[in-house]
Amino acid sequence: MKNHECEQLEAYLADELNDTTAADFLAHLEVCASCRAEADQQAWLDQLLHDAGTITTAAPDVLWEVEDQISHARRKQRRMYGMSTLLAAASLLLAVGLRRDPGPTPAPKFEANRQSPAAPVATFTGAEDVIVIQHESPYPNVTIVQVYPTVDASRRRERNSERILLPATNILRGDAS
Amino acid sequence: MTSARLKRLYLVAAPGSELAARDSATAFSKRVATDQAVDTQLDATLAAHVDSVYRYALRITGNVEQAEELTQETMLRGWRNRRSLKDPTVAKSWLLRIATNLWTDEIRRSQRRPHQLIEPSTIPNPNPKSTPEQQESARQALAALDQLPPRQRQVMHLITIEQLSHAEVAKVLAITAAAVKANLAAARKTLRTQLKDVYKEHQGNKT
Repeated sequence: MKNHECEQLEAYLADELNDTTAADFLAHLEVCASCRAEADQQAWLDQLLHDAGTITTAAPDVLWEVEDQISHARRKQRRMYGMSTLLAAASLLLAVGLRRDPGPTPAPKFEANRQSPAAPVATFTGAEDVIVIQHESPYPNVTIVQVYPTVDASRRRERNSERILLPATNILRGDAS
Repeated sequence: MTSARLKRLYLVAAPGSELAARDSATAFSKRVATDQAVDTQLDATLAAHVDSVYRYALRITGNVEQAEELTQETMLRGWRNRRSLKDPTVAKSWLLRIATNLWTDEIRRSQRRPHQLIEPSTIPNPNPKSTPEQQESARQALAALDQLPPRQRQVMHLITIEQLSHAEVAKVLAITAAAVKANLAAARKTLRTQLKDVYKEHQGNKT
């Protein structure tokens, strides 16, 4: 006759019982021939299935096929790496070649001299707010200057902007037309 | 897996020395060499589980040809996604998960019945060193396993034959731990009932 403890057989077989309950069930196994037989049969069955099941191995050609496909994928990957290297080398050569041969000198055009700004042509020390840099001008009658503020915006806002900027605009001389 | 097989796969997976030697001066090729060294190690890790994948594939497909295709596809998919395998110790369950997903997709695509039983010819000959009675018992046990419903069959196979933990099986099959336990209990009960006579015979032979 099955009792409450017999119902724990599956949990015991699945190793799910805690230490206390497992100990109780082991004591039950001593007295319950039915559960003992089931547990023994399951142990035999698990071992039998494991031994029989693990004999199966993949056929050699399965492995060879996998190896071939991996090799193929590797070759493809290497070709891509090789192409990338070639591409990188070609780009490098192109860049070096272009630097060595700058080509025809471009026509002069107006451009602010950003690389090495000229010396300041005017510094407004009275206001201590701006310096003025002269740039190359394509027009002989025009002088182009750039005005750089020397104080931060918050301070500049506090000052009278007209007083600061008017002297700078006076530097612009000539007529672009 | 035999050592010869592992060696063969290792050779296939060896880093491309030609490319590495040619471009060793560049950081690019150094990166390539490092990647390939990592790949080689991972390939050996994956290759060690080919047989497990094949056994599982055979169990769920019930057909040698399909099992071989599924194994190849699984190994290739695993190799392609090898970088996402953070922990090599879980490579086996990771590959089995890939196989499960591929087979699920295949069933969805072809609407194939997943209840196919393994062809009698695909049940392997049990250990030749065992007695004829033991071989017969093993054959009957495997046949009974293959007659279980698909989910119970998968759970039973993964736990009893591949020796995965309940948590690993839950991950492989994307089901809860409770579902694993329920399927396992049902599968064990069915197998015990079906193989009661075989067990009695085994007990009788012992005594």
